[in-house]
Amino acid sequence: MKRLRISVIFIIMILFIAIGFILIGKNLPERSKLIPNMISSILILLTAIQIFLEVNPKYKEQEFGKFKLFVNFSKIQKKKISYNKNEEKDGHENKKFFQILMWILFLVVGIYFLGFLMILPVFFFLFYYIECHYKWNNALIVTFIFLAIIYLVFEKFLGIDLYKGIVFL
Amino acid sequence: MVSFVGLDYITGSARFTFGQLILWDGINFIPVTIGLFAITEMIEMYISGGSIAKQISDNKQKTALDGIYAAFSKIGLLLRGSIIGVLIGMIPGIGGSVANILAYGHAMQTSKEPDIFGSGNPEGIICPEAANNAKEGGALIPTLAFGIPGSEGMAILLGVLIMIGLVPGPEMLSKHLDIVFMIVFVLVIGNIFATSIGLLFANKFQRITIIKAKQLIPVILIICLIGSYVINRHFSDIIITIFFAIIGYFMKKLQYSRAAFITALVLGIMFERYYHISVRLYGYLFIFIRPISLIIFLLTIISLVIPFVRMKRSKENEVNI
Repeated sequence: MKRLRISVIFIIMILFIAIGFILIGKNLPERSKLIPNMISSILILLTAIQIFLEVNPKYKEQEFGKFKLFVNFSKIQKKKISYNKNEEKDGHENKKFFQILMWILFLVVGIYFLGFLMILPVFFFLFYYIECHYKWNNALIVTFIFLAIIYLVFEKFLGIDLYKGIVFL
Repeated sequence: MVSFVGLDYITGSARFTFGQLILWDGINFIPVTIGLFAITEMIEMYISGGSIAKQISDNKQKTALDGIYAAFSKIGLLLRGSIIGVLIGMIPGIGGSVANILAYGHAMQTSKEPDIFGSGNPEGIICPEAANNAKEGGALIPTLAFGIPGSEGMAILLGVLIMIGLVPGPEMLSKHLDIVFMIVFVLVIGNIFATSIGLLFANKFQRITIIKAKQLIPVILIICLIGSYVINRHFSDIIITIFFAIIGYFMKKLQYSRAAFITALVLGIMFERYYHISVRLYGYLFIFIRPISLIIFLLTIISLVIPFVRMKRSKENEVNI
């Protein structure tokens, strides 16, 4: 089975969101759902066209100055157009994306449970130690410096009460 | 669609809130902006790796004063570039690259030495840079006068103005002229201040560009998350930021306009409000019976049709070839 391109998955996701908005809003008063339904309908129509153009190999994306449009090349050229757009991103990029996503999720979950000031040293130390390959003592020094800066600037100087986390609230 | 989340001001019913009380106020555009732009760029930095610059230039023969002298020695070009920037900035949605390209083309056409363009002719820098800096001033005009942002920065400014209860539009120029001039004055002072800092510390700042991207990421990420948290002091804003960071990454990767998303987020609720007011005042055919709305409607149709006309012409050209 041919693998779906990320662009197609993204458009399908938008399509589902638009349909979801119509379904969720069906119990709303008429005036409240009028514009959201109008926008959702336009979105469904446009995404449907986009999906058709994306999955149909005889259409190719072309730039016309500032605009990008799909052109049916089979109608203007006799020879077969090879769809050689470099859509398949190498696994390296996806792997990196999931790595950074894991770091971000670790930080967010940590903030939720332990709060900013508790998770920051852990996050800084682990990131510099694992990702930047710092020696553990250097990572510790950098962690301490950044933690001190963030604490002094945000808590003391700006007077912002940083989130404490559900464990300490 | 995102701008419709929250309480509907007409009927008072909660829309698309999924039972979450925190969404009743709608989705704040600042966490969305931080997610879409700042964290997305950070993700990009992590994926691409390396540093912004490979090495620091050790060219110390030319000083900052030489640069200032070079710019003022071409004062006519500087002013023409600025005018191009202001005019392009006034047109919503065109963007800075068009101003740069037009200014570069103009500099090349009017230069006495067009042959050395592309090999270090300062005229090729002065005119596009003047246009690039002037376009923000030009973009202020449609933003404040019509509530139509001329650039990404202006879309954010528009959001901030709405947040503090100021609705940009013709009324802004009459009732809040003091604020309009304050914004203009701040823009001028900001530019002078930034230029002074640039001149004083340019040599020091260039060292930042050789720091590995990975070393900057934790600091940027933390500052972004604190920034989105402090608006409402609620954890949900952090989740919104991360959600839109992921969306923003894919938007950037698939070349969707993030600025258009922010513009729609800011203007969406205004669009709905004025739509209901117009319908109540003039009925459902208000677009066709009021002259200004009819003109805007026709211009919208024309702007939608232009790409197809261009495509048809391009097709014809290819067939002829």
